[in-house]
Amino acid sequence: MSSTIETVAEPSAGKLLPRVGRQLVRNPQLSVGLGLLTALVLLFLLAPVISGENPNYQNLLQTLAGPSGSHPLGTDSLGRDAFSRLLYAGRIDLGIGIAAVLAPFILGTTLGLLAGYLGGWVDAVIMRVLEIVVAFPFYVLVIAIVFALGSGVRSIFIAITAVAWVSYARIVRGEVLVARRVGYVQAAKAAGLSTPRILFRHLTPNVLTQALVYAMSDIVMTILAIVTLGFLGLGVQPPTAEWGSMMQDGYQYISIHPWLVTAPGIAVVVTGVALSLIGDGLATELGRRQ
Amino acid sequence: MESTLLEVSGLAVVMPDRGSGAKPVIEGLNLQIGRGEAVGLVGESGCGKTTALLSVLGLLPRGGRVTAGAIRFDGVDMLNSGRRTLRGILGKRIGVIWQDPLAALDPVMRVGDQISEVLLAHEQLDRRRARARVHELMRHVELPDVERLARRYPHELSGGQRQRVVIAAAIAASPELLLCDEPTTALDVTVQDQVLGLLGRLRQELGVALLLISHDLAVVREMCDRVCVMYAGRIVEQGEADRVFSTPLHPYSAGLVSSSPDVDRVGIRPHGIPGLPPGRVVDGSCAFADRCAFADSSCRETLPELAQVDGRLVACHHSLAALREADG
Amino acid sequence: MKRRRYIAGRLGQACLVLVGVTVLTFLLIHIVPGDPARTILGVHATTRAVRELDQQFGLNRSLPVQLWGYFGRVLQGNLGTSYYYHSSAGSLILNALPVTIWLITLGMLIATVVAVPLAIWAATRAGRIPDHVVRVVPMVGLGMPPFWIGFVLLILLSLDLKIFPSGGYGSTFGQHVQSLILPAITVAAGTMPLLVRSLRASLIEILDSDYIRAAAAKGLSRRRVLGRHALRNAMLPTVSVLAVNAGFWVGGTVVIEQVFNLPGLGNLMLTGVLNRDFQVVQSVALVYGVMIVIVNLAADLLYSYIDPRVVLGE
Repeated sequence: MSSTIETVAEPSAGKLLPRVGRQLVRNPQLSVGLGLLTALVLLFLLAPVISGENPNYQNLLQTLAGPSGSHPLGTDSLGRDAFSRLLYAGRIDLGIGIAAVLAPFILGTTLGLLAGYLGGWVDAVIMRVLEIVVAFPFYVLVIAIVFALGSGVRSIFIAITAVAWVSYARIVRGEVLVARRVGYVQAAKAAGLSTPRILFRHLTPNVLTQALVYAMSDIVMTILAIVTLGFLGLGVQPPTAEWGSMMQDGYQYISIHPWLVTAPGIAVVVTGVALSLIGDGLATELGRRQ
Repeated sequence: MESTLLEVSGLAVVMPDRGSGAKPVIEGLNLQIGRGEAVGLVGESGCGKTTALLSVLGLLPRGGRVTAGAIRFDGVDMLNSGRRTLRGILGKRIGVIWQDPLAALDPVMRVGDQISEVLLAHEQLDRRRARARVHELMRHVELPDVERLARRYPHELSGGQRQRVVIAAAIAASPELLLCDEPTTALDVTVQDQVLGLLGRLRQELGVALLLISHDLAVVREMCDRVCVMYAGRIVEQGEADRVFSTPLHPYSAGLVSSSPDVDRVGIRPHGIPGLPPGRVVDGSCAFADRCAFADSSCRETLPELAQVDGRLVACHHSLAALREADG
Repeated sequence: MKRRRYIAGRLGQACLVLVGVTVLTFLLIHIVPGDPARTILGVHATTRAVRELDQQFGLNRSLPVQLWGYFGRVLQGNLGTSYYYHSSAGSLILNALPVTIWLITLGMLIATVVAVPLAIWAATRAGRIPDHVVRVVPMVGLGMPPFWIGFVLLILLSLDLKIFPSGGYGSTFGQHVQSLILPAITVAAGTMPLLVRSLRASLIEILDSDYIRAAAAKGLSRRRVLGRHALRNAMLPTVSVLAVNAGFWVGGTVVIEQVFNLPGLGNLMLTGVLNRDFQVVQSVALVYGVMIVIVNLAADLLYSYIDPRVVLGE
């Protein structure tokens, strides 16, 4: 465990280092989560070094081979190295997962701040739209939007943004409503600060931390959505390696080669656990500060 | 002399503490209640009164535990008996009246059901007979329109009505001992008197023994035969209620008496008590020394033991008996 | 009196959301890039087919007119005609709906039966090993793709042991039930983490409350203290957590139906996606939306019955 703590603490220089180290020891969830995520990211980035096999090289003479020395997870129906594809897919799924959370984060936080702070008709309009969006099952709306837009990464980004902003808006609005009552905003108002200034200088940092904690579990949800869309053939298009489409390929051979669907699933779960641990750890850390 | 109903001896309790893990909050507590006797337990909040009551019931909050001593109810070992034995005593032979009736009532259960569940748990009654008994009990605690009220939820009742419901549940199975934890603190002043009047009446009618925790000394003086003054987890003075309140011997008792506007102050200048109780047991010195006008080096170096003074028990190096005599 | 006013208010709100849900599904066709009819039908479609579809959706008229027409149709229960099956989307949905409803009901039942004892087990041992074990469940559970759990179950229970059919719905009631068990367990596995987490958290708080202490001091059995007092109170926040997340766990069934080849709404929608059968996708999305609104409404009304305080707006 000590080695992962060092890896994580390395970027922070000088006096900060022992303090960060202490915090990580005190918060095992955060340190285990960060360690796990670092290990995964390294694994995905060093894929060429670790596996050596081209993830897209089709060896049609060696399809659906069992695990062996050169193919630790065997090969898929097109004779591609499953292990190599698993690692390369990690780049895609984790990368898109994190990137796709940015837009809903910004959109939802902004709308939540506006709704909570301005109140009145702005709040009413935003909340009504929010109620309508949450009236649809997450996957149903995402699938419908991707269907209408046509499959592909761009559609995934748009669909997830259109659906996922609501959680941020709800969390941020709730925090603003609480903060407004607490009084520091009232004090700022009394001191003659203008509305936008209060909004962004004083309220945002406090409220943002809550949204950040949620973002961790949202990345997990987003990766799940990408994987699900991939499984349905609506996501990242072949031949790019992606966990969902790998499972779709393997699904037909589930009775003879179960690892073709289990391995990508385990990769999803491990990534999810790492992110959830970080989220829980951050929440604990926040709880301590307040 | 009546036979002893509840006997607490040498009780020590620890509660969870952030810094050290566990802190002692009660130490060497001895307390006897005879059949039909009313005993008051007074002291500021944080002196361990409620914790003492919860240890008798075996219902300490999470992390709290009894580390030494014994609690016997009519000879039954309350600390080492099985769950079944305890269930036969709690509710049936010991009733409890809680400080905050709104918090002590289940918010999502009709109040009538909260009374009848005591009956159903301890007496062989069918539902119809239980309902009749509930109405009878509710009338007994002077609740109006009982058929309708029994079907209400706690939040729909007034504070006084809620406490009457709690009392009805406590006396439902005709217990021999009632434990009352600040039964009137959460109530409006006008309602306090009514509830106290009711308690007094019930005690006379039922002949039930009473442990009354309160910081309202007037109430304790009126209702109780004996009183124990508790400070920092220990009893510092114990004796007949009238005598303790008219001539307190421990400086802490005296401070309480003088802070209380309703009790006649005899022989001692009125003053409030500066500072706050430590919230835990203190060892090696008198816990009250820091707040005591009479404290000297001996108070800060040795813990005073409970000793017989003037027909009661006092734990003080400078019990006020001597001072009072000097005043003449 | 108060209850009636509360219910009326809640119904009004639900109606408003229903209107919004309809508008949103209506807008779906307008986010299709380029010429919608052409895009939906694909490059190989004949000009006649494209014109027919334009006609069907009234795409050449103004937006308000289209919306008005759409509302009128939906209110009459006309959900349009499936381009692929050449039959009404409404009847396709009516055939598929019971499967999905049974799947959700059975899944929730299994989730509750497992989650409640698990949460009690953890909450009564808070901070000790069982509690830590149970706290990991949601973390792992929420990180699993809903359909992947189905794969694992298929591999473990269906393919090797042949206890359950690996897909389809059968034709008799017995076969229906048998076919639903594995998918329902999959649905339960996706929902249970939320249930366990919420129940555990509220139980821990409630078990340390005055009224639980008061109930125990009445000499009630442990079963009654936990079941009648603690659990009932802990159910309240759990019901709202489930309702708020209804979209999440109902959405999971879409893909689960696909994995187990159950002819439910999700399957209908995904087949529609594959066949580029726009009318079916749009109508199924609408029905899902209506379903969630009803679930939320039911949860709120149920809540107001379990917790009488809600009606007072406290």
